[in-house]
Amino acid sequence: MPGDSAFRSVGVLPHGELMRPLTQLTIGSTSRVTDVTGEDATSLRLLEMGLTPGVAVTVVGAAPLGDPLELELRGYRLSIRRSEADRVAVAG
Amino acid sequence: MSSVEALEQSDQPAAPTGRNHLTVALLGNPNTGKSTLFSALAGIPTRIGNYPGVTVEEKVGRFSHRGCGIELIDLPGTYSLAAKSPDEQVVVDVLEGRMKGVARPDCVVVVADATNLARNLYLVSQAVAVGLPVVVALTLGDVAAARGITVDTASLSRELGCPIVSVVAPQRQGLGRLADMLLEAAEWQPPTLPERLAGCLAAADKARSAAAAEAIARYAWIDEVVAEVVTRQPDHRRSVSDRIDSLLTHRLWGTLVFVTTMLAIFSSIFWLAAPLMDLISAGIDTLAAGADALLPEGTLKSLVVDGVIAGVGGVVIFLPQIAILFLFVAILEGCGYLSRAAFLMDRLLVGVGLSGKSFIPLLSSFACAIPGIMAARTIENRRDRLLTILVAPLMSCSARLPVYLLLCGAFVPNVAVGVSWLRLPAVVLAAMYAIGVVVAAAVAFVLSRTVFRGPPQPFVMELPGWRWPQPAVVLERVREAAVSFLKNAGTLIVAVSIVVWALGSYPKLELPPAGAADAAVLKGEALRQSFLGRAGHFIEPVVRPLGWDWRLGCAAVASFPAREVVLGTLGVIYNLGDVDPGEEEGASLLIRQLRAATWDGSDRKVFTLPVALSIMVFFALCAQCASTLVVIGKETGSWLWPVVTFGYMTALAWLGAFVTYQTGTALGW
Repeated sequence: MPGDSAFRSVGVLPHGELMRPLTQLTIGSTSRVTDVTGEDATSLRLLEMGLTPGVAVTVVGAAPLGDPLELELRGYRLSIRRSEADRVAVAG
Repeated sequence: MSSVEALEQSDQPAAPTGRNHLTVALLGNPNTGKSTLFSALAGIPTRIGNYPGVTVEEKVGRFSHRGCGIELIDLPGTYSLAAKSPDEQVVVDVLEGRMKGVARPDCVVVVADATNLARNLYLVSQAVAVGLPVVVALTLGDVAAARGITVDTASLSRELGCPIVSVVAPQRQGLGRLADMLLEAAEWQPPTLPERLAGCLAAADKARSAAAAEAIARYAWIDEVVAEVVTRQPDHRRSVSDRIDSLLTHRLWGTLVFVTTMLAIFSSIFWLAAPLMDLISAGIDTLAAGADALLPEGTLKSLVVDGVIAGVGGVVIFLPQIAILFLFVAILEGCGYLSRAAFLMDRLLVGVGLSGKSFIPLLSSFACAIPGIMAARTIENRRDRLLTILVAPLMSCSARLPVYLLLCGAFVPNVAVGVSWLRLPAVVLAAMYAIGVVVAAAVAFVLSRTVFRGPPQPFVMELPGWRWPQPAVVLERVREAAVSFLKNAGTLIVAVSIVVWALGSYPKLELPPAGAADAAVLKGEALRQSFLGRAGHFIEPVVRPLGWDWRLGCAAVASFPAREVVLGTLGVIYNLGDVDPGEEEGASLLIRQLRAATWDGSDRKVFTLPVALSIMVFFALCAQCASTLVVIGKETGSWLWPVVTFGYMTALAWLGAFVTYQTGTALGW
């Protein structure tokens, strides 16, 4: 679904691979980033922090009120809000 | 100047150049040990201030190495040179020599964290293209080694085309070599873009925006390089850092630790600071008594004792709270907890337009808004920082407590509310604290959706690994906060105090009213005759709807510079002379006097329950603290914001007091 600002549901990549928003990963699970939608400053910052297509990302946990999320990628911990994690599509 | 001895110990040949002066910029991601490296190299900064026109901190230090004076510019921590924030713009401007008043650096040191090389290489990949010689300082190698991570610095150096020096700044390892390298590097040509990086950038995805495609291309290069130079021992044991992290971000345990930590910080700015503040008060009193005894009776004495000494005392008194808060903030920042605290609290604050990072500044403001506003320096996002600063003075600070206690004790009936142990005065007291919080939330909500409306602010925040805070960095943070408060705000606060003294002392009482020999009555009359007193009379029509008489208006006006004087002012204005309302005897004397006070020319009591409540609400919401306004001006770098704060808080205070009094009267309280 290119053009959408966020992946709300499961989608299919051109070569048949399933993808869904990062927010749908259960805590403790790991997947691979397939895309980051949007071209604004927030999406650019996500890319600059290393959330680029192909990278493995683990959802380590969430804050007590459910938001933001704690991620592990490229050997470090990153915190992003759910609204931002919605822009990140992962495989599976 | 510092570090000379330690640096001179390296037994390499003397400086290869004839230069006697170098300017070096220190660039790096946040949390990479950049501050530790700065302290280890340059010691105490020689200059701290703001870059012209922006509220981005400029920090410069000096040291000498092999006879060459080196000026070290500590750039704000940044993840990228694709400028999106004022901080990043400053970094780019300094590196490109476009910053006014800052000479273009001769070379750049890029600090890279060995435990987190991939993301750190992103900035390095941009730094090698700014057209300056680059030296990479690889930090935290000891932590990386403990986690089984090794970096092949020789290969990485070949790939980047610039030298890499491993440094462990706390142990001063590698500092001499780094300094040697700087002297050499300054003579070199800037590195050329690594061939493979150029290849990746050329192959960037044309379908995406240039910036996004470039970011993806840089990481493609990073992935190749990291695969070659970084080896991780296949060790599945969870690191200590991970285990601490999972405890401290745990829903239950993490929240418990958080609450305990925050209570500890909060109570220490309240209680730990108290003895120090008493000590300072006592010192100022002694000084005032000394001046009182030395100087002849008259205007000069009054100016020195009530104007200058009282003004200086009013500045110095804030130091213990500022120092203690910054000590805690620096320790939390150094060990990595500050980001975790923001992580835990973000959801609660994001709904009203703030962010998790606003929590500690706002909590601190319950003790005193000044250290709270200064602690907002830890919020990188400009909009969030400004919003936090604007609402911080609404938190009920410790100076409001005596007003609440006196009025609750004297005028709120001591009856049970529902259950026998819950008394009405306690409920009212809690309500005063709640009013500040609720109004702050409402103001932040409205401002974030009107004046500060804009694209959503990303909350993409690194949660750095756990490590021990560096004492040198912690102490430097405390020293810096104290010095900047004294230097920037202190002088202005003293000036304001002198102006207030003049307004309260002039014009002088011409002729004492006949028969008024009593000193207390004289003092009361003198205040009523002064500009400040006349202002109270003048604004009577404004305060009438709040249920106040002109004397209350007078006391409120007189406490605009500093609300803590209000009880003393009430004492003077109701002819009690200089009682100390802090003492039990003084308080009960004041309470009796207030209870007996009547409207001029009638026997109608001034202080009723609605009036007492309206006074408390007014004090809860009003910006009656010149020092806070001065600090807001200095921290935001603009006098617009203190004016805005003063305006909106005074308006809300009047409105709140009006609604309270009118409602209370209508309900027949």
